[in-house]
Amino acid sequence: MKKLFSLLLAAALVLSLCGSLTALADEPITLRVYDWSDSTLVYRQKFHEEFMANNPDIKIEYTQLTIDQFNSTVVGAIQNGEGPDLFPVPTTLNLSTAVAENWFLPLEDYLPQEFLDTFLDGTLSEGVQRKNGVLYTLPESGSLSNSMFFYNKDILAECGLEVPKTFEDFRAACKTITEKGAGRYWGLIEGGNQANRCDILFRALVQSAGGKISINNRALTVNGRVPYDTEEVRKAVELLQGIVEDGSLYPDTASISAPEARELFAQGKAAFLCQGLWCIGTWANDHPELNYGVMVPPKGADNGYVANVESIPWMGIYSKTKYPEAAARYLKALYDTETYHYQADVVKSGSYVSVIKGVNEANMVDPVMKEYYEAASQCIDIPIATSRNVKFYDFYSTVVGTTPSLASIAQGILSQAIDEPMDYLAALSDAETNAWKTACEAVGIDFSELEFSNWVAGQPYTAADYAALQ
Amino acid sequence: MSQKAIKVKQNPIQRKNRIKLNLWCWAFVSLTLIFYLLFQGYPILCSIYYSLFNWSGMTSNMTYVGLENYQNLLKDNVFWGAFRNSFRYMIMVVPLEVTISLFFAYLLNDEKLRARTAYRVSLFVPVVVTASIVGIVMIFIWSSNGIINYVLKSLRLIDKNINWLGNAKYAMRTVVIVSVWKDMGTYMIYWLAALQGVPADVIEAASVDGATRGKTFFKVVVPMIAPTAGIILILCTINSLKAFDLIQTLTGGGPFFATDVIATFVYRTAFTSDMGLPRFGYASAAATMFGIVVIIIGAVLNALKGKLQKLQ
Repeated sequence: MKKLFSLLLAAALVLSLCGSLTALADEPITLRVYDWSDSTLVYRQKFHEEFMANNPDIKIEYTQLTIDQFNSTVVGAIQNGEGPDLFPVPTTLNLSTAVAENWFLPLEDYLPQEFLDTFLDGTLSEGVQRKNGVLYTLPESGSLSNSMFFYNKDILAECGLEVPKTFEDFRAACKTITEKGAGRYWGLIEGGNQANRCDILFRALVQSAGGKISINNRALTVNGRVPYDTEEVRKAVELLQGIVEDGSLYPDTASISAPEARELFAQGKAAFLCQGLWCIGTWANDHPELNYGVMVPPKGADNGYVANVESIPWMGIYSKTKYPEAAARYLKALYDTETYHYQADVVKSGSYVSVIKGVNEANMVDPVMKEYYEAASQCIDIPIATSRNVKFYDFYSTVVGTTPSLASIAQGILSQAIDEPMDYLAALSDAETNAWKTACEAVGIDFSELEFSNWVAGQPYTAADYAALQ
Repeated sequence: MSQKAIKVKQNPIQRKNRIKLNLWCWAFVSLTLIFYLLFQGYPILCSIYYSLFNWSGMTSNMTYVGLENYQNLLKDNVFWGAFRNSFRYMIMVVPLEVTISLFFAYLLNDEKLRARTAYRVSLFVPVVVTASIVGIVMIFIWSSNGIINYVLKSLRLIDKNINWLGNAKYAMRTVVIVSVWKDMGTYMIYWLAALQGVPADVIEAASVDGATRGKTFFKVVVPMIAPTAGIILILCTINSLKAFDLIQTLTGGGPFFATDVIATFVYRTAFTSDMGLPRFGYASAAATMFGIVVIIIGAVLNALKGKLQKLQ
């Protein structure tokens, strides 16, 4: 009897073990995806539902953080082999460094060529998504300037104003709007507690004044010096100071973030806002009644221009993931236009432009998005140090930034915290020139390679110009 | 009489008991000690170690630079600005926090006061609310369209709305006010504990002798709660020098470094950068340097407290 009982017990144990193993085998794998793409959250969640329905063996665990949170909480985990299965290259890092740290798997081992052929030409470029010819990341969206100006058509009409085209007109328009608004609305609003937004606004104004200045976080010299105290910079400073002195800047600008500024603009608290394409999708969802348009930044000189932004690396597969095939399946689906609608959704909503062939043409239905696209298409390519010499990616990993930075000084102007910004800018130019020289020496590049003597401000810089410098 | 300890020979049972007692003591302390070593001691040692390297915290590329980070800190105006701000903040916060919390504690220690528990709870509530939530709410309250401006304008104390947190002139003072409001409850509890230790008959005797409430407080109560006051002062000073979460949420150290204290400097340097990589090693050096300053201040205050107690 005892033997029979023992046998039954053993059989039950074996059966339950088998059952558990079968259950484990049936259990979907969890794919952890981290990023900071807040403007596409709604479409991303919809995509994840579609993806999980089509791939019952995969469960998506999607976490959205801010870039600061990512840097302070996820990077350590990546270094310790505990990173998420899919994550983007942090904005403080470039692909070269991430690859040197062995963070990502070569994508071509998992993604077929016919899938990669669906990307627009030039989007999977060397230095940005590829290192030594090997593809490690995919881009999130097409590169489009994020320094266009949105304007509220109703406010401009109420004040009897046309869209301002010059610095003088812009300042005067902001003043008129603020006076007529009498506390209901102001001229300009900006996410002033975000240094990066202040930096983008400031650089856009310097470029509009015809100044030779790089896009943010990038290096470029003029006459052997970092050009942060030029005459064109002074013009941009004077415009911002003038707007602040006139009281035309939304009063809380210094203490609000970019999403808060975006929301307040949509509530009709200001007539102008300098931000990117992502606003359009958010406003379409939250404020469909908002009557607004898009314009290029006002010009401060005849040779004023706005620069195109550089492409940046985005999502890659973690080198230590247990599920590289599942992660590759996720990436394929994210860009797939036959079974999934994510690419079409983000373009239709105006969140951003797609990098997949044919998607923009078929889905760009929002008139404001078309307007943005047209305005941004007036942007020009300016010289890029990494296009001249890929070793500049190492320079960006080596250079030590100066504080207060250009972004901090721009914040200081908006918050009226500094009286003589040009003094700070001159000191910054000196300090940055020295820091850039030191970094060039450290990585073995000639500092003079940051100088593009054959570039004329306001004129696009072409491949032929790069070739002429060789 | 000789102060030398007299060595008493213990018998084996006494020795065994003493060892047993010691073992029990260590057993009780060990858990705290392990947690301290893991979550305080080890990170402090790591921070000191990292401060000797040029390291971004994001890559495995660490270059030993010895004391170079410390030398650079000595020349860094932004660091010294944050250093000054930390002390400005402390000088404003400590007297306000200590006196206001004592005032409320004394008021709410009165047994005759009705609903005093409710008052105590209401003053303690901000302490249990997360600093970041307080920060977010306060941004609205102190904004140019917030309730503070509305009230001040209604009372005709200001004629134009002020962006209290976005204006460099007012930002630090605003942060101090919010901080005092938030943390005052903690110190009130300490004061209440001290006040409850003052015998009621002593107060009654003073009252019978004709002392006013003020005189009783300054001549009878204050000397009796002075030892606790020393501890409160040390805690409040150290906590104010370590302030981070509230300032980070309210202003992030801005506008243009007007509220930048060492903790916000360290956070920004360690995890963000406008150009190039973040500077984790440099931030560690700043944290170590300031940590040493805080330890010295704590030790000096402790020594002062000891001397004052002896004088009493």
